[in-house]
Amino acid sequence: MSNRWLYTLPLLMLVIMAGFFAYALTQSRNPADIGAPLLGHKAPSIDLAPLHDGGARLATADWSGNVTVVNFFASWCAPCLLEHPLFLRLKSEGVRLHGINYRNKPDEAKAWLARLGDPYERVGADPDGRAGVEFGISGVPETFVIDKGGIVRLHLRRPLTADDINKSILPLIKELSK
Amino acid sequence: MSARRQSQRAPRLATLALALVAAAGASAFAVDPEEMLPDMALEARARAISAEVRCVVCQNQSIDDSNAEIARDMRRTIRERITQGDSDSQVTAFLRARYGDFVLLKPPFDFRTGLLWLGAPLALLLAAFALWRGMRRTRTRLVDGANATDLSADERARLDSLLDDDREVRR
Repeated sequence: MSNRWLYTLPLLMLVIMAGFFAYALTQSRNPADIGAPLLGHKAPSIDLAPLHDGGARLATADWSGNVTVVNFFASWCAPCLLEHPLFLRLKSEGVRLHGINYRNKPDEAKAWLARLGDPYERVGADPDGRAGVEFGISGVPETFVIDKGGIVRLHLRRPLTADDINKSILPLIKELSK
Repeated sequence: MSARRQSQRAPRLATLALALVAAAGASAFAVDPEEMLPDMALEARARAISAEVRCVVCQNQSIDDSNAEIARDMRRTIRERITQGDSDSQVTAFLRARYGDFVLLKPPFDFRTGLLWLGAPLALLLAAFALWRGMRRTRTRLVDGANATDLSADERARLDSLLDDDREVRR
């Protein structure tokens, strides 16, 4: 008689399972989300040849002491086209912004920037995706905010939105620049 | 006539077999011969690591199986780091620092995945324990249940008086 409660066990298990299912179905959990493991860690060190003739090399070491935004982009990437005006806006806000041209033919990238405007202070060329793996990107566009000490403070694995700029990037840069 | 037909069929079958082998080979080797390392031992290590690294754009494929460009880049990184003298765990740690646990086809054992790893064996143990207890209880009941011989004198007296009372009431 003492273990009559055992008869409720199947029901209890059903409730627990239903709880898990409800969680998985409603929390809009994305199993393809890689997350941002570099957050809070030192930005990987890279030293890339410039995209533009006569431009300066793009090296992580040069960023120390400044809050820097780094954007991986390519001329063949449609979402990059979509977010491009937002980077022009970031530039006009005086943000220090660098580009990494990911797996792109230099001529096409240069033509793309000439046509749309070049928001980047420096553009490093990453023709074979080495810098991409260093920064742990899975595609383009991806954007990083790196603080004065070279620590990654923001990593977006998607195109930028106006909301991102207003609500996270600009306030974050303001905070980090103090 | 029939002999000639046979002889024609044989090469056709051989061609088909060859095509099948080639097709199987194409799907089995995403790794290009030209990206392989000349040192067989290092190459074997690179293949073993790659087989455990999940492609970041193709969900449930290892980078060893994937034809995605990013998978190729990651394979190259693995080979470069091995050549530079990194140990297997250092190579995996490098990728894990950048892509997180997402890249590990075998999730690591830690407090977040503990339930996943231990949940099923734990449930099995619990069920086995419950079954064992139930069986033991049944056996005790069969062996010495419903038996008044081992009541103490006091208990017997009390039982008798209770039964007597009961009889009184019924009457």
